[in-house]
Amino acid sequence: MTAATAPLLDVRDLRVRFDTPHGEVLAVDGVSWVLSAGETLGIIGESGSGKSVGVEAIMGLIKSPPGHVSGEILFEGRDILTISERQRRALRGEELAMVFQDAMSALNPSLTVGSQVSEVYRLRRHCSQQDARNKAVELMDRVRIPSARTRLNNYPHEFSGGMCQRVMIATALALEPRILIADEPTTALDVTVQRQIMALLSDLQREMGMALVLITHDLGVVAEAVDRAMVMYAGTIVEAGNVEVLFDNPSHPYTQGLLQSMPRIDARGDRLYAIGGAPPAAGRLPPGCAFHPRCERRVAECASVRPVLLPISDIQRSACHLTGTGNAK
Amino acid sequence: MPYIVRRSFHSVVLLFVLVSFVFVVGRIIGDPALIMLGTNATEAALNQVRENLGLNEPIWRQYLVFLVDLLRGDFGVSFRYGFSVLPTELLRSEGTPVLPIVLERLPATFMLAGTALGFAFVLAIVMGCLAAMHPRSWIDHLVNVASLASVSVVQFWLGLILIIVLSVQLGLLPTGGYGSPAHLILPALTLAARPLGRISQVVRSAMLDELAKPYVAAARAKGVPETRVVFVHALKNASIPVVTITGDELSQLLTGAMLVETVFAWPGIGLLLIDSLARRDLPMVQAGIFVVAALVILVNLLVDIAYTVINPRIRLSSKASR
Repeated sequence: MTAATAPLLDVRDLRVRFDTPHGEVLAVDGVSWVLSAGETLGIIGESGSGKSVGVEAIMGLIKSPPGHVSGEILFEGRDILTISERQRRALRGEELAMVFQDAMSALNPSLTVGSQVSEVYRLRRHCSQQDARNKAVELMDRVRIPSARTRLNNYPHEFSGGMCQRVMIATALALEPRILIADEPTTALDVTVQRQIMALLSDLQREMGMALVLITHDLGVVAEAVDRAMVMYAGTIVEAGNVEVLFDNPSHPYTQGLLQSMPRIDARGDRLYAIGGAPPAAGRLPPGCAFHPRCERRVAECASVRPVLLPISDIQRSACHLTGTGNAK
Repeated sequence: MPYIVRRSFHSVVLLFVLVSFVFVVGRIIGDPALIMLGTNATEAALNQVRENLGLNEPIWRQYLVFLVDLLRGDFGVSFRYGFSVLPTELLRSEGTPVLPIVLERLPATFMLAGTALGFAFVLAIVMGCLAAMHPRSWIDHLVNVASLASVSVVQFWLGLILIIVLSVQLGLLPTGGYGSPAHLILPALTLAARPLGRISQVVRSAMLDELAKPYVAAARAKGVPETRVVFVHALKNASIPVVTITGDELSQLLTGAMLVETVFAWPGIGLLLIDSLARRDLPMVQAGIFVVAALVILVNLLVDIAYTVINPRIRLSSKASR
């Protein structure tokens, strides 16, 4: 945590629960983190760990009912959970923007690419059709879509997956937001295109001075692109810290398991490590530490007392009974 | 070949099949001369009519003559119109041609069907979207019940009830007839019930599907106002099934108008057909059926063309059929 700069976004004890026919489900259970201007934060976790739901809550995309968001989300010190829906919408696009996982389906199939890229710019800046078109070309150039002007009137199905993701990014950048949330931006793409998109995101972040929240389950992506990272499991943060520390010296057994299960180029021939078992279904969490049924190092305490996320050094926090200071009463 | 040309060619073929069907049915239901003159006619009079109408010719020749006449827009002359006495001495060159009479009735039917469908369509879009925006809310339940009721209600019964309540008891609107906007209200309402219910149900389910898609969340995330998300982003994609059902309902309306026109004495093509059936005026029935069916085919063609305008992927499918 770089204490020198005031946080741009300060998430405090964020909880998201959903009413379902099978009872209440707690998708995000008391998550806190801060994001400084221009910083890159990674959120790592398996599917269903609550990482996407958490950022959807920040964007204000959780429909209520059935969803309920509580806690505080301070944007420049103002709690955006208490402001009106109108003010909330004004923040979206302008200050906070989001890039979705599968760009192909996150673009409207029956609107032209150009109109989608410039849509919010046109709505918010009340400019002419021609200005909007020019803005769309400028944005598409910026995300390096070749011959942008001739492609304005194309539809998303005429674009490849990687190009769709570029369009999606261009759309998110239209109002020059200060925070860009990218929810698994490279998952649906093949490996070479993944690298291009990540490089593009890093470049854009530097050019525009945005803060970037990168949600992924791809540890390779995190290692390259991110300053700080948080590991989520079953709706809570189990470990957070500077990315070098997290990779070199992981403290939580879940983080350790994740890192061990990464295929390594120098470990050819060995059997790939896998964490045993499966993540618990949301709403049916085990008592104590949610990870304890899968943990190889569990102790008696793990099944009854829920560990709290506590600092183990000034650049690393962990929620585990085994990690010295991380021991909760 | 462009899609629209191909599609139009299909329509022409269909129209030809239909015309042939009309011809065959006209010959199957009985001796046209007997139908025309009635069972009390003398054999001499019947023979005279058969001679005049060319009914003594071999059937294939009659069919050819029928087709050639059709190409010239000649559906024959009415058995009933323009005669003060029984038309025993009828010559083919005399009598009133049926087609102008049928076409004269079209504006009234169009006005009725257009008003009914326009009203049903706009209200159905609003109802369906509201229901989809608030699933399982009271508004959704209300729309469900209302649409189910309006689909299920029997048209002529609804028409009669509306007449009894609004015209007879409250005296607000005329019981039937034609001429002023007030005359249009009850038949249009009656006719609108079914399409209103069916279109709103399709709008609701199509919008529920669309609103759950990622591009809707993406549009919200980039700060598009909710009304625009629903009525521009989602509705545009939901419009394919909606246009299909609307075209279908328009075809149904043209035929459904027959009952409603009879109940309200609305002088459209439906009332003419029912009257002509009762008067056993075969050429008039043939021409009426032809015109209604041609309209249905035209509507279907227009719906198919509308798809290509709405959905860019269909427009290209003929090019990129990989």
